[in-house]
Amino acid sequence: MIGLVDALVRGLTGFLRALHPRNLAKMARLTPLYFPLAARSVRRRLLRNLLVGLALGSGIIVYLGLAASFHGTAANTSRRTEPLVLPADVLAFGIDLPDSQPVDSLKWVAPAGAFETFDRWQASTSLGTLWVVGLREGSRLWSGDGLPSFPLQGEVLVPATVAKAGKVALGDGVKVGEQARSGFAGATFRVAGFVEGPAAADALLGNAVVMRLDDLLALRSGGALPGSPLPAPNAVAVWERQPGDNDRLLGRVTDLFPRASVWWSDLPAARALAAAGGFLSPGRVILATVFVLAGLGVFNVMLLSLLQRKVQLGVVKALGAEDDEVFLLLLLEGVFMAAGGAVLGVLGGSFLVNFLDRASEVPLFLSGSDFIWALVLAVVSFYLAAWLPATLCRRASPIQLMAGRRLYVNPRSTCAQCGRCGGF
Amino acid sequence: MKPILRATALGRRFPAGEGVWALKKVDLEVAQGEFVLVAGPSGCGKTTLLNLLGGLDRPTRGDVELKGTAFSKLDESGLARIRRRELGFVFQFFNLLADLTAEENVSLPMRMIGLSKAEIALRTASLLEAVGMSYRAKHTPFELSGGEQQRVAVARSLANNPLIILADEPTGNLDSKNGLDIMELFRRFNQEKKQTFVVVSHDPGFAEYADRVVRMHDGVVTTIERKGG
Ligand SMILES: Nc1ncnc2c1ncn2[C@@H]1O[C@H](COP(=O)(O)OP(=O)(O)O)[C@@H](O)[C@H]1O
Ligand SMILES: [Mg+2]
Repeated sequence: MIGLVDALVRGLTGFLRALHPRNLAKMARLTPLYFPLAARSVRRRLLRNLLVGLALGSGIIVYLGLAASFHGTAANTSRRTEPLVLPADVLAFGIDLPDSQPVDSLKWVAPAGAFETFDRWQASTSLGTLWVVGLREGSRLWSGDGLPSFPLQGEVLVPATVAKAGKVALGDGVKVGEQARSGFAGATFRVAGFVEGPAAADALLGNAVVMRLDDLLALRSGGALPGSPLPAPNAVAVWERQPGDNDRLLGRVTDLFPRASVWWSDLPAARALAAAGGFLSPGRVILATVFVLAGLGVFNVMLLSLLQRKVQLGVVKALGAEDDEVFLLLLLEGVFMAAGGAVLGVLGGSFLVNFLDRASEVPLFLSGSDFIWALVLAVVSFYLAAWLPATLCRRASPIQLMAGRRLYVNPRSTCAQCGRCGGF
Repeated sequence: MKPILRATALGRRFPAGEGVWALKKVDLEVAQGEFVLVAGPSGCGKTTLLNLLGGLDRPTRGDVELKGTAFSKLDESGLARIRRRELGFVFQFFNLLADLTAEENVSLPMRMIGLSKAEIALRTASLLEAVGMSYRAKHTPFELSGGEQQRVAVARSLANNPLIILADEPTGNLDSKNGLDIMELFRRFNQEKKQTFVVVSHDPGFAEYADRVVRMHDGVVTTIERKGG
């Protein structure tokens, strides 16, 4: 027990000593000698090292995937009412329901990152009662597959089936607005195309008149006037794709709908996570477990790879490499793997989240802090994986290593003589 | 002649605190250009002695001096520096670095002491030539026979132009033909380059190569025979 505490204390002081500018300078000087050796060693054990990188990488991937879905579910905790069953990555704008929620509870849409702006409103049109959807150009909802080109100002797209039933052709006018006793309030738009094919099956686009968001805002602004038959939105939510991106839009919305409460964007990921639970929420526990498992996996393989090379490392020492140099050599190998794993993990994780986000109705997204935490995972794993083996080797004497003896955390103390833990 | 290596009252106990004395009390001097053979039955302490002479291990008592520098005054880095600059090692199991080619194995000690690239290339080539391994320069140890590996190891031990080469049973893992070849190599470097050797072997047949044979038994030196003396 005392030996263990002793070893831990020595480990810590050793680590701090390694950070001394003199030692760092020494390491920097030696790197050109040992970097190629470490690179060679990693390349010679390519498969194994790929697997280590993969272990770390998949740890990060899973971490990022989980983090994204926690944000999503955090943002998704509030109830979702029927008319709001939409692809979850949309901006809700102009929600006007009988039991309208106070804006602060609009958690069903996930916050910042990947959001789109649109307006959806069931209007009276010259083709009957139809949803009206306002989109911005470049919207993610606008997949382009089987869709005509994006409508210009004053233009609409209509579902092919509706157009056929109502006998409208390209270039015809379609009235969109609200029918009231006092007459029709709204505007006339030119039909610029038909939604058909696979796009017609889209729950959102296949069933609505699609126009530019600006057009829809202009149309809806009548609802702000007293006595207008147009329903005024009482709640407006704007999500930003990029911070600052929507300032202009937001300004317009608040001008147009002064009575609507505006809830806009940028719910920080921290708030989303807070909504999912406290500091020790199940989510965090799972994340921590992923951290630890990935770290242990990497650690194990690194340790094994060291133990198989005891003799070689002993020879390097016998040839005159100083303890710190062997330490550096092993640390460098760890750096290679951690760097590879981190790149793999961040790329793979982003890809996975992107894919899952498209596939699922629950919004998934990553914030900058997720990536920072993922990199922390890489560094922690690297520390676990490379530092202990490197330390074991740094301290062992060349003949201990060359004889393939068991290594103890502290070879020159009672720790090694006790040996009950079995060493490494 | 003035000795370059001197061991005084050298003793080593395993384990350090309370164990048995593997080496009891050995005094030994090695002169520049000498070829010393350490012989004796297995377990008599030859390897223990050589490890102490090479600064690979610390004695329980006594001291080793190389060119006037006492090992006891040096820390681990100091010992490593001595090994790097002043000593060459040949091991029973060759112990080439498996990740490196023959050429790279030979050049490693030179890179450690910071010779220039051009110098390293030149010297590596001439050392491989001297041990007859030029044609295997780009091969890794796995692609070499035991005898070939040991030749490369000999070239490596010479790389840093050491004061002394310490060889522990260098022929112990070779057939007699290859073993004799290695001893011949040693003799050649000893005679042509005045390279100092301390070679451990339990093969009595190798006595003829040495200027001096140090016989050990049970942790002590029993006799020292001088050639022609
Ligand atoms: N690390 C060690 N721990 C305990 N005993 C050792 C150790 N190294 C050597 N010995 C003992 O010291 C004695 C001498 O060993 P060694 O020097 O290897 O003999 P030789 O090389 O002459 O065969 C042997 O009895 C051996 O068991
Ligand atoms: Mg031996």
